[in-house]
Amino acid sequence: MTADAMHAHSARERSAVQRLLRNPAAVVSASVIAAMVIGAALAPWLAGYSYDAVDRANVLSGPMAGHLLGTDNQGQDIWARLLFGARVSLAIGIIVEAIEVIIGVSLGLLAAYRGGLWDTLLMRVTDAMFAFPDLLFAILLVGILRPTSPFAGFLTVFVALALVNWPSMARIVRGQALALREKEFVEAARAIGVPDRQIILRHLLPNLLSPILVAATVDIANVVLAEATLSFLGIGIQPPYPSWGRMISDSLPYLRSAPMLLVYPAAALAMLVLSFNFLGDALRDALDPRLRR
Amino acid sequence: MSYPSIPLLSVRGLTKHFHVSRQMGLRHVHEVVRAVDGIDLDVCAGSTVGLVGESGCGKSTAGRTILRLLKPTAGSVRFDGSDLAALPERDLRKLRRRMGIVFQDPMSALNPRMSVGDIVSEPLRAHGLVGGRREQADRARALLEMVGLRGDHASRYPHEFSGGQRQRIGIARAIATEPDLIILDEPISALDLSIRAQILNLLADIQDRLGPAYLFIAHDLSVVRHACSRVAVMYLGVIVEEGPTDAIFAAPMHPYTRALLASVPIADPSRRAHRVPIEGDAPTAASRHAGCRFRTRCPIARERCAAEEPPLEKMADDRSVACFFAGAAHGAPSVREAG
Repeated sequence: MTADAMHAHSARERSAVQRLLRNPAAVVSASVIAAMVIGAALAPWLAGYSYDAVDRANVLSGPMAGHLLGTDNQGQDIWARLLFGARVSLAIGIIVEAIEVIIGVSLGLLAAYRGGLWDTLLMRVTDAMFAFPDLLFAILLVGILRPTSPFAGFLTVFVALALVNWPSMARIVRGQALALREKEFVEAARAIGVPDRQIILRHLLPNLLSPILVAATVDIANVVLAEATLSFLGIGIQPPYPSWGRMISDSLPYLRSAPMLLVYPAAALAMLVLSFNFLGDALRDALDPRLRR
Repeated sequence: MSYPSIPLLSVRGLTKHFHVSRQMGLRHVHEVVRAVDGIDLDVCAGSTVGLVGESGCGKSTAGRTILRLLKPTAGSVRFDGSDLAALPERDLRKLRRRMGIVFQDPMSALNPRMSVGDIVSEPLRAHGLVGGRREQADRARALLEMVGLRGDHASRYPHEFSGGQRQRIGIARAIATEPDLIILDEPISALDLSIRAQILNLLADIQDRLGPAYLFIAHDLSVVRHACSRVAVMYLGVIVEEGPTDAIFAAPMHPYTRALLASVPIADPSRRAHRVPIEGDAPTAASRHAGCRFRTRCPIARERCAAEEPPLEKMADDRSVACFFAGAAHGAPSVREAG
């Protein structure tokens, strides 16, 4: 108790990080995600080609000098398209998840703290959303919004996926916040005369960060998959910009002659999704309060 | 009741009913749980009043309803002139500076994500009583030292402290704004026996220095005996006996009070013969019928007790008792036909 007048808070966070680092699955997952983020960020430099560059001399080639993973049916470099595709998957995953967290956390907290009409309203809306197939709803939205430019196309996919996914986050936050609200320290804050806004920001939210972080990490995997599905169905990211889902569907006619066209994007997708799932699980374990000293 | 002055806190007819509905087979059963069913209570400035009773009798609910952490169903809570039960939220918030509460479980009463310094200075921030970070830290240090902790504990987090130390932190938070009234909701029952006396001494010390009134909620009469000048005994949502601590301990008049006192362990074996055992379980606050609430367990219950509910009536020695046979119960050989 002498020199370690260190911040207990950071000490606890540090021990959570230490627990995370001791988990091999977490380390591998985090490395995969980090590698993909770096690859996506440096795509123009690492790829060697633009995502829509066509090499007519080499169509459907296997791995060769100049084309690390070969080319597809249009003579486009697969390695380049995978890297640019990672940009799409990661950007969608992270941005949609961020929107979802903002909407889900604010509405969940509002419902839990205010209760009454707000709560009933939120719960019925989420019930309705859960009862309707997510993907169908997203497809409907894209169909209704009918994006005209490629940029609008991106935006539509973001909006559609965020709108489909926020209810689960709102439910998680609401449930956790309801449990927290019963804690005596929240009652104590009310007894002291702390305003509602401060109670939410200083007492509820900090205690919700762990479950939110865990849920968001696992949920990124779902969002990435949903984007791939939309693109696979041809209503997600539009060509010529590559997306892994689109690459998978484009590869189907060549399944027998060039199966690797399917394998590369499918493997990349599976690795990213699994990594987020594993990382989410590992975070849950590392942040588990029962493991704190 | 002859008080020298107008009491600081004056509770009249305070009622808190909870509506619960549960599924029984295919039917929804709606029930009203009368947790607090019309209680009167006075607390004078600087004094300590005990509120005792078994768990489930509504004493904690009463404490929370007085502070309007729960909205009262009926009744008034006059605190230095203003009725807390009717005050608009904004005015109530301002008045909260003059009230405090200490909870039973020091574990869940402190936010695990806030430093101890932030916790104890939160009331000051909430009411804009501190300027900068420096002043806030100084005040937090002073508060911690006042409750017997070290000033440098301010930068630590609740999980680094023992139960007793956490309760001290809770007390420091409650006294931060130097309130006139502090509700102590079983402040020592979750603590180790060895620490209880220390916390009681600390509370007495604080009262000497800052002069707040205490409403001491407890289920253990022996604790209240030393700490309180007056005691109110609660049974199933109502007060059955109220008066000066000495008088009640010397000669309890309500059969429930007598049973409660008899349940306090006595070190002297020769005195144990006087025990009046309490029989049966307390009916829940939901399953209540007409008549006296205690009659199902009362050793002296008669027909009248099943028909009418005895009102809380004033007795000679500055106390009130809610029992038709309060006099008979006292001293007279008890008719033991419990039913």
